[in-house]
Amino acid sequence: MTRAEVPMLEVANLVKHFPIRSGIFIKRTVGQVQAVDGVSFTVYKGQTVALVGESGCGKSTTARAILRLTEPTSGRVVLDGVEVLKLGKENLRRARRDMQIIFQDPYASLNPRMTIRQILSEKYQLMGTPVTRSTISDLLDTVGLAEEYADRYPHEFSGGQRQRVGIARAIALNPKFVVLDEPVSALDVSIQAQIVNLLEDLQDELGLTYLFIAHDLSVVRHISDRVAVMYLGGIVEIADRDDLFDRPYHPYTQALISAVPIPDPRVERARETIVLRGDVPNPANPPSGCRFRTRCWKFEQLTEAERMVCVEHRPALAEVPGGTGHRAACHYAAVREVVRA
Amino acid sequence: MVRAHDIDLDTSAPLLEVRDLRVHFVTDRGTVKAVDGVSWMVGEGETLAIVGESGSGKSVSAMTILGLIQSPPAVFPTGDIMLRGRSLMKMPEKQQRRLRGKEIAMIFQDPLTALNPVFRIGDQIAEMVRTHQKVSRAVARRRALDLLGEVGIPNPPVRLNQYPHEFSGGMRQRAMIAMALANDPQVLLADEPTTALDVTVQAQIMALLEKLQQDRNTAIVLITHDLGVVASHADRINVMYAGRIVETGSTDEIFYQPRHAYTFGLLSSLARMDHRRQERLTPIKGVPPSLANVPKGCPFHPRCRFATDECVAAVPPLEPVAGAGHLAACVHSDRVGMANDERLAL
Repeated sequence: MTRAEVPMLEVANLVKHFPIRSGIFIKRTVGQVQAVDGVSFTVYKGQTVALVGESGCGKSTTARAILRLTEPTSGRVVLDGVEVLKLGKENLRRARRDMQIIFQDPYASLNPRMTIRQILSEKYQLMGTPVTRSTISDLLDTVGLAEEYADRYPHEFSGGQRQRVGIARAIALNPKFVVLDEPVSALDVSIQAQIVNLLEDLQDELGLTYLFIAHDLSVVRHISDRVAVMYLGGIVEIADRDDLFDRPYHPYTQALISAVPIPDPRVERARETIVLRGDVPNPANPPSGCRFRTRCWKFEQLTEAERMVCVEHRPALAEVPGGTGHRAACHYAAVREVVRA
Repeated sequence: MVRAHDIDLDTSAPLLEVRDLRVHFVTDRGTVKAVDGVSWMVGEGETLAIVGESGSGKSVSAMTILGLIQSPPAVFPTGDIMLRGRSLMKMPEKQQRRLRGKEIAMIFQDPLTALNPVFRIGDQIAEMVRTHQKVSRAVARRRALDLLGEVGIPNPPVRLNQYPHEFSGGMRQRAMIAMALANDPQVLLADEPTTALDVTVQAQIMALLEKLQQDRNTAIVLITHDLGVVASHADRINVMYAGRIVETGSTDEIFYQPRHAYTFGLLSSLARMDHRRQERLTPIKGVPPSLANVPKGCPFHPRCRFATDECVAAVPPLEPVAGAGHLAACVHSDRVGMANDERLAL
C-alpha cells in the first residue's frame, strides 16, 4: 500500500462519556461510563478502516460520535476538510449528505409502513434533490435489485435484499464516507459474500471511503486496508491489514485473533487458542493503568515488579519496530504469531 | 458409567437415533415442511454438528427431540426418535418428561430467554435437580453450588443467590450449561450455544463444553451456522438445506471432499482470516427457499451452478459417495468433486 493518499477522515482524541445519574428528584451525576476514551485514527480516500473489538469496547459509539448521531464529549473530527464537530445544526444537516451509515439490522432501520420507493425518495426530498423517473430504478439496479421491487414493503424482502435496500439508501446522495456497522453479521453465510462483494464494487465505482465496524475478523481481513483493535474505549493496536494479522504485537489482539475459529479442521487442530480469563470489566470503573491487564495472559507471566508498570501506567499507543504506522498500546509489546497465512 | 434408570434402556442400541423424521406445519399458505425425512445418530463422547442456514430445519429437529414442538400446529407424518433403542415418540408423555432434562438436555442460543428472570440462579438449578432426583433441598443446593464451580463461574456461593440479570452474557451461558448438566445427561443438544457471545468468550465456552464432554463422555449435538466452530469441534457433520440432510460425513470429508453442490458453495463463499486478500468472494447466488414453497426436485437447484434438467426431475436420494459414512444427495457429486479439487489446488 502506498502512503501518498489524501485523508478523507481524521479523528483525533475523540471522547464520549455517558454520565451515570442517581437520585429520584434531584439527579446527581455519580460517575461516567467512558465509552470512548481518546480515540485517534485516519481514513484515506477510497480506503477501508475496520474498527474491531468485542461488545462494549466502544466501536459503535466511536462511529456514532463521528457522525454526531451521539454528541461526542470532546475531540476533533475532520471529514474532507470540514470540522464536523464545529458545524451548526443546519450545516450539519447538509454535511450528512456526505456521511452515511448502514446498520446491522436492515429490518429495524426500514419503516415497515413505507414502500421501498417511498423510503428511498424520502432521502432525496429531505435534501431537496429532485427525483426523476429513473432515479429509484437506477439506484435499485446499482445494488442489484430489480425495479419491480420498488413498490413492495420491507417485510416482503429477505434479509439480504433488505440489506441491499439499506445500502441503496446510504449511497443515494453520493456520499463520500460511509460507516458500515456490522453490515453482514445478521445475514446467512451464503448471503454474506454477496453483500461483501457489493460493498467492494460500490467502493470501486463510487470512490467511497468506509469505516467498517465488525466483530467478525474473517470479513475484516478480506475487506479492510487498515485495522484498529479496540478494548474498553481505547485503540490498543492499529496497523495495515496483513501486518496486524501476521504480526500482532498486543496481547489482546493476539488473543482475539487466536480465538476466531478457522473453517479448516487441519488448521484448527494445529492451532493454539489463547483462552482469556473472565469478562470485559465495567467501563464505568475501568482498571487502573493498562485496561486489559485484568484479563491479560502476558500479565500473568510477568514478575511482580514488571506487573506494577501495567498497574500504574496507562500504556501509550506507540510505534512498533518496522515503521509502517503499526502501533500498539502495551508496555511489553512483542510479536506472537497466532495465524499463518 | 452405570446409571440407575427408572425406564429400562437397551445399552447396546445407539445412544440417540433420529429415524426419517418429518415435522410439518399446516398453515393457510400451505404446508411448511420444516423437517422432511431426516435420519441420524450420535454415540457416546461424540460431537455431531448439524449445519445449515436459517430455515434449514436444524433447530426444529432438535426441539422435536425435546418435545418442544407443539402438535397442533405441527404434525409428524413419519419418524421416530430412539434413545438407547426406546422410542421417545411412542412413549407416554409422563415417561418422556422423565427423560427430558435428565438423559437429554439442551443449551439455547439466548440464555436470557431460557433463564427465568424472577428466580435466583441457584434455585433454578436446584429445581432442575429436584425435578429428576429424589433429594432434599439442601442436597440440591449443594449440587447447584458444585455445578457453578464446575462450569467456571467464580465465587459460586455469591453467584448462587443472584438473578440472571446480574450475570454477564458469558456467565449466563455458563449458568445455563450448569443447568443442563444438573442431571448428568448422556446427550447434550447445543443450539447455537455461542452465537450471541464475543469470540474470546466463545472460546471459553467451547473449551468448557469440550472438557465436560471428555470428563463425562457426553454426546453433543452441535447445531450451528458457524463453520469455524464446526471445524474445530465436530467429529461428524450433517449439512441441512430446506428441511433435508443434503450431505453427511466426517468433519474432514465434509471440509476437504464435499460432494454436494451446496456444501461446496458454502465452503467456497467463506472469507478466511488466514488467507491474504482474495480478489473477490464467491457467493452462492439467490436466497434460501421459503419452506412453504420448496423448489421441485433438488431444493438447491435454482441456486446451483451445476444444475441440469435431471436436478429438477426428482429429489436426489442421499447416497454413499466415497467413504463408508459419507453420503450426499447430489446428482452432480462427481463434478462437485472435480471443482473442489481445483479449489483446493489454488
